[in-house]
Amino acid sequence: MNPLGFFKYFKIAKTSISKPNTQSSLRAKVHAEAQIGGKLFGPVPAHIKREFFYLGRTQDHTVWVWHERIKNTRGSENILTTRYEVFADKVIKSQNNLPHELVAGAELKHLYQAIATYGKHVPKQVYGYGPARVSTV
Amino acid sequence: MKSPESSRFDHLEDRDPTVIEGVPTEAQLAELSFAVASVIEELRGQR
Repeated sequence: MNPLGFFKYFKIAKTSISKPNTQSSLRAKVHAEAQIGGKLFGPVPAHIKREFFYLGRTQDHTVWVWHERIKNTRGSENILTTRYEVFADKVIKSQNNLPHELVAGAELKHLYQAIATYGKHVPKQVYGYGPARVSTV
Repeated sequence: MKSPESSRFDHLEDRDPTVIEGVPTEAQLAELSFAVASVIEELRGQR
């Protein structure tokens, strides 16, 4: 199975979309992606606001963010922000103010699935582009 | 609070036909992430 097969299909399906981009419109797009991204992991309880989104990249790595705001019974919020930096030879996770750590095993697989799912759903649900049917061959 | 390494990801395997068998390598994850990033950046108008 070629896990990138649907991107090949996607490139055929979409058309050129060059539009003016301001900081505010970019922020709105990322926000919309984050909202959809947060729903890719199943139902979200009312007291939790969850976001998952692509933040950006440098030449050698991409950055993905998982963000949760959990309202407790006293009405205040606990905030958990996890940042994943994906390099070709390592994946680094930083969570709130905790020390950085390397990602491996099941969490690496989960991140792979999360990014693949994001790439499959966000183009269609946020931008209206993408394959009508996903091809993974 | 639970972090993303928790079981909340488990059901993705039922939803996503693009999952791979076993644990991917860092290189596979990087390849996928750059491919998705390129698509997203184009849609955002960043490219």
